[in-house]
Amino acid sequence: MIFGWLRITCRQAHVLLSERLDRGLKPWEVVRLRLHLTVCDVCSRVARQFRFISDAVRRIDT
Amino acid sequence: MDSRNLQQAVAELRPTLLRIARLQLRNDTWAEDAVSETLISALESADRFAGQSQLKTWVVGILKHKIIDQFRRSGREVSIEAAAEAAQVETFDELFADDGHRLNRPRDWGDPEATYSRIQFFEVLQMCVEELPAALARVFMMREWLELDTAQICKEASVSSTNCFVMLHRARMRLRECLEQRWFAGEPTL
Repeated sequence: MIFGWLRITCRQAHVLLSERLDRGLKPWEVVRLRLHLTVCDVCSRVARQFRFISDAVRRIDT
Repeated sequence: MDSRNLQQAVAELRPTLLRIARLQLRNDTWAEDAVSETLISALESADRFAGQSQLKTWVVGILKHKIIDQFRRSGREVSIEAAAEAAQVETFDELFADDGHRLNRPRDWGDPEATYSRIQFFEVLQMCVEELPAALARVFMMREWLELDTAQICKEASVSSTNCFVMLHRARMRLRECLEQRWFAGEPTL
């Protein structure tokens, strides 16, 4: 039951992965996302890619 | 650096500044104005440039302020385009199954530092940003290049914070896809 409430889909995880770069996530969002990332290597990869894009854009003027 | 050399060095930065300003403002006239003001301001305050940082870093810092000023002057047009863009719904159905799980596996992008060392990569990145709809690109660049916080971006573009987060998400999803196809597609997948 508790796991059902904590479970999110990849689609929802992608949204949180973006939003955590723009706002502080709520505690339950952090827990849901972390749980998802421990079992989903696809979203873990996307997490790294979003950070990669941020870092890359900051270097676009160099 | 004497004043004559400085003047020349600043003038030589113009093409780079214009390229960045266009990427962020998405309007050639606005970009020209922001860059002209930047060059004037840089030369006027040249005595404050004590060579403590790189000249380019210093001038780009001035450009960032001028770009924000330009957004304020063009507020109405920017907000109209942002509102139209925010009304678009993008579901990325090609990426997700009905149950919300991802259909295809993204590639491994490898070591970021190795990629950042390639000049051609930044040309591809720029092309991908240029292909974004103007309003998405502005909001995205405000966040990631101007490094404004979301509250300020929402204010500059007159969009709600929810719309702001959605637009930033859409921009990242499109850029991710674009970079994967245009740059990383040649690399082996793991």
